[in-house]
Amino acid sequence: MPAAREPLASSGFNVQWGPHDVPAAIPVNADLDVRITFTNRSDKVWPDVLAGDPAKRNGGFAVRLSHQWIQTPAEEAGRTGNRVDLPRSLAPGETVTLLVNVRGPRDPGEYLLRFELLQELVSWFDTRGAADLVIPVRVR
Amino acid sequence: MTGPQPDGSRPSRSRLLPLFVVAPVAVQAAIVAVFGQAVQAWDEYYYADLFVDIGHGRPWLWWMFRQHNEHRIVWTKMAMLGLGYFTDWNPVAEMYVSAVLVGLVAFGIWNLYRTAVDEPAWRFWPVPLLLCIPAQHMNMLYGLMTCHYFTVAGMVWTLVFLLRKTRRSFVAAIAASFVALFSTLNGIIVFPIGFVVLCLNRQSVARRRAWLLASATLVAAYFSKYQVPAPHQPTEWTLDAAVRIALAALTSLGSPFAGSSIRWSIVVGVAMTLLIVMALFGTLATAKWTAHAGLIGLTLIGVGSAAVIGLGRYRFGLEGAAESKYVTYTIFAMIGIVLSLAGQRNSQFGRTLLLACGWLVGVGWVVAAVTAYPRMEAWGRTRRLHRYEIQNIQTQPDENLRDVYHLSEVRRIAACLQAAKLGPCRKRVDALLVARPLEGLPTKAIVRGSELVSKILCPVDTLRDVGVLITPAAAGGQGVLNIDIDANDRKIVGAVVELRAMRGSTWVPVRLSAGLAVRRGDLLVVRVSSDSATGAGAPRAMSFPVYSSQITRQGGALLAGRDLGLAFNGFANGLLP
Repeated sequence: MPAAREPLASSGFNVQWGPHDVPAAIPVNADLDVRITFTNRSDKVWPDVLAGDPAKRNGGFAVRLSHQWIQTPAEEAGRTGNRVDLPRSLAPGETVTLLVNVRGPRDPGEYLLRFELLQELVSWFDTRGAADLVIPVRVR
Repeated sequence: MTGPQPDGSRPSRSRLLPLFVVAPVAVQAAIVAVFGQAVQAWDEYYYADLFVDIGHGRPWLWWMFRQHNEHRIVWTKMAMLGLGYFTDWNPVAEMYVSAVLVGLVAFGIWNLYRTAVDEPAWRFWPVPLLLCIPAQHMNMLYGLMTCHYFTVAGMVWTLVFLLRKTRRSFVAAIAASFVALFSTLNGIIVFPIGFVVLCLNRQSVARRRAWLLASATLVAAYFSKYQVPAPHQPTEWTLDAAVRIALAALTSLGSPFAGSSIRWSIVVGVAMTLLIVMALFGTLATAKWTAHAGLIGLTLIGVGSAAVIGLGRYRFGLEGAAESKYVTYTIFAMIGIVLSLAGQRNSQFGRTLLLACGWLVGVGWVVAAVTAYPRMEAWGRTRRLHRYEIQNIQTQPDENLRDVYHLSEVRRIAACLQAAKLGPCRKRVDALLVARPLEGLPTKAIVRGSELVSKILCPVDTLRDVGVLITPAAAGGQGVLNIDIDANDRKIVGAVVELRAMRGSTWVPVRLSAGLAVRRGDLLVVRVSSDSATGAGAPRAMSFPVYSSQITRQGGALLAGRDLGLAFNGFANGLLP
């Protein structure tokens, strides 16, 4: 396996978000396992941990899914979840559904739960023009 | 019954002939049916590029005479291509070709027997047994190894035709030797053996000269533009090397009947050498060498092959000389002996030797079958695993692929096979295994309050079984382990495992009943608990880098960035032991 360690070309940052099962309302400090589906709409293969850096296999250059709570209107709640690895490299046009563990905010209120992709050590997808998945959630 | 026909005229048939020809074919075909896998093995992947060339409309005929190491395997390539066209390169079809060739070999030997010996047909019985001896399982279960069966078929029929004293038969003998030589280089021994047979059979000087001329021409043609395969090391001509060569040759000679024991291979090899010497002595003493020329030729094929194997393999230890792939050649030593001895039954000496050979064949066959069985199973499992790895090459790290093919080539070839749905990619294996098995870490001990709960989206189209990798405590397990599986919030199956019975890390199977329909994307929950195991006797599971859509907790705490070691449909697809 060649040592990849390559940043995606700019055409590689194109995602289409699919269905999810994030509830519209959750209790405070909820511990949720949710499904997030997305499709690689770019013309590049998104590397998993093995393909990102076959020698070190430490996540470098791998595409990962991250999430973040944002307290409306525009203030981050400061709870960023674990980054989730792809189970395999994702070819152009391929869709994957990931199970993601989400810990809910401690305080009640109206929040946005934002899912975003990144290539580790390279770039967040949204800074390259890709859309994030933003889901409004009421915390009671 | 017909008398011996040393003039080489065609022997009459016997009612037993169909049985003797069909029996080894049937046994070998049965072995292929049970253990044969529609998956290429190592050297066969080299020919993926041949299929690619054909697929792209590029010139490909040059492949036919191209060397394969020191061999040319022309007929094997033709069979591979011809059958591959209709089967999307399923090597099992080639394995059946090998079985059919064994029938052709049996028929050829029958001809030699009936022209040489005035004995009842049933005394031919050891031959079909020897021809399908399971010690040669590697050749039986490896498509490319049709090359060895083409070689031995060519050699046997060369002898058959040489003993028939017509011009047409002589031409046929040259053609048969061409088949043998241009299959594998091992076939080259047919030329000196053929000459010896002509001399023993007291054929004319003109015919002998013609044979020498034909031999020289074919050998010259074979070595035209020949490239010495690297790494080539010249044979050492020292006493030490001579001893090692002799030991390797004896090992090779005895290995068909000695299971996997090198020591017994040497013992049997020595015994066979003595039998050969005594049988030849008997033939000479009774002045039967003219009639027995063909049978002596068969013995020489076996002995000559063992000698060549000794020369070629002595550097690599005796295990190399006992490899399954050589058995197809070395059994000819025993075939020649038993048939020669069948013609010496009028002496007590001959009868005693024949009885000894009969026992050796009978016991050796059983030993070969018993020892080959687990090897054939392991061979099949390895092939199935390689098929899975080729189909999922993108998730496989290099360390998984070292046994599949050259690392520098295997990914490119796998991509070609995937795209063309050829060979191991003809039918998709509906399974998911841990992708990086060497990076496993044990979980914490599974005791009361620290059960493992893994949520996973079903990664296969139809779930048939789940394997859970469990490591018992080093001091020996205590109590029981419970594995429960829910699908879409409904318990579907459970298993209870006695830890005491577990020896080392084990894939514990949990099989779903046939009526259950768990499909790709369904939410599975796998619980691994052990209420009765405590302290040092508690088992552990294994976690691995992410290979699935999974969330695993132990005692409520997340195993961040790790997946529980599970296998999906690993048992149904024969990927796990």
